[in-house]
Amino acid sequence: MFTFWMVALFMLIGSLLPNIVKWSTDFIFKVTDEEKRIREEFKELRKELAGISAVDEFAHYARTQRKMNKLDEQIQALGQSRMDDRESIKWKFTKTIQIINGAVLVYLAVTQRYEPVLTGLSDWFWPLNIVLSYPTGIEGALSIVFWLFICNNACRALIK
Amino acid sequence: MASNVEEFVQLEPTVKNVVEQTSLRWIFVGGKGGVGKTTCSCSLAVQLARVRETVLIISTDPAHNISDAFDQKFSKVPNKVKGFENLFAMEIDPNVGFNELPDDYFEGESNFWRANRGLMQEIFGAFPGIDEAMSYVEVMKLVQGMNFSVVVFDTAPTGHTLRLLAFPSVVEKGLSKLLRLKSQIGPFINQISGLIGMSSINTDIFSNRLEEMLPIIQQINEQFKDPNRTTFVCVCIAEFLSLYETERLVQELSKSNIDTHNIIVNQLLLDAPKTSSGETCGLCAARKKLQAKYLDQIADLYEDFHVTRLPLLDREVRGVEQVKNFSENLLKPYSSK
Repeated sequence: MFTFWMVALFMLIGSLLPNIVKWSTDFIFKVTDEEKRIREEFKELRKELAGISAVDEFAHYARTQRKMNKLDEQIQALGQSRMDDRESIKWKFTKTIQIINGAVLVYLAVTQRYEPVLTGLSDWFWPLNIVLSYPTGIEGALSIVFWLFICNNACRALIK
Repeated sequence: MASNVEEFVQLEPTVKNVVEQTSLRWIFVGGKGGVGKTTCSCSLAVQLARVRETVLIISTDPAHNISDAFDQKFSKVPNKVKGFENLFAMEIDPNVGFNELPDDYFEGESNFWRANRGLMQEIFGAFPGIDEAMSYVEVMKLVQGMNFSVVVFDTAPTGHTLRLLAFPSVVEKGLSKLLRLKSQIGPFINQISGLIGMSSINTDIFSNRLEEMLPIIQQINEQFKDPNRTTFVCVCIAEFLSLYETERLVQELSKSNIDTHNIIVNQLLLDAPKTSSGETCGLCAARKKLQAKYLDQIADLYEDFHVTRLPLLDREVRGVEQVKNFSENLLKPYSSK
């Protein structure tokens, strides 16, 4: 039963990994206060710009436009650096978890290959039960290999 | 208090600063259509010819305006302007592309290239502006080799100018990537072409040309971004759209790190024309008022620029003598007689 739940858990983590990573990095790499301030300023300027007549007060219009351009550059720069940091952390985190996950599952599959995950299936899944119990050799058992396979597909379907 | 300080540092309303800056090598004169770029660039070239050793004025406008302005036919190679010892002019059509290049340009290359010139034209057509840019590079090579003390570019009235100016940095990055790719993929392509049975496409010739271009382009890039060597003179008229375009141009130039600190406002009604009956012309007075409004805006917005005002004359400025006379207004603010 232990293997049963362990495998299910790890497969679930593997499938949900992108979402977990996204959620946690969103939390860590929140929009900074400074960036928020700059965005506010930008919105204010945009409102101001809408009220200026370009024809009558071109100098004022152009100066406001220039300020907006500068702020926009700053926003882009800040956002870009945040995005870059986040992407690299996301990637590293994802790969690490995937490796650990994979290692654990392989270890389990190899060491538990003769142990049944579940028993008592002969009546339900005939004629498949012979195939399902393949590495274990025990009748009516579900081997870890096929349990992995089932979990994999189940999790994928769940995510969709 | 603030306005006093501003007035005190108001910059001289002439292009003397450009003429006197002897380190300048590349001067671009540009602005959206019909503002008098060619008149201004020719006038500027005339003034430069008085103080610099040799001056070349190049036009990339397919409409061949310099020939009109100096009343002389110019070609793809520098020719001396009649009436001057050290002023040369040249007109290049940047849309020449591969097809119209003379045969000897392809000398030494395999038949494959010659036969497929049409194909190459298609390929290059896929990258808008690339054939312009390539002929531009050829021009730069030529011009650098000839060692003029200063080159004035009379740019075309389209957005191409800015793209071409920004081109060196774009191409530098692109070319270096391309060249790296070439060294990786080159041998592979040669193998494949051998397999298919084609005689070696000889990508080397093309990539050699690219390799040749890269250092020139890097040099150009460096020079264009150096405010001691390059500057851009914006020409406009005192109307809203021209002003708007000028502002856009100035912003794009500063984004590309190209120096600009001169604006010429052309076609201004500086005289107060009188009708035959002695009254002031109503239409001209109204236009003058409109222009005055925009002139104020210009003075306000471009306080760190030299703003030169040029008059609208009752004659076209054509021919060497008229250009020479007109060019005086660049250094001495116009006063009606």
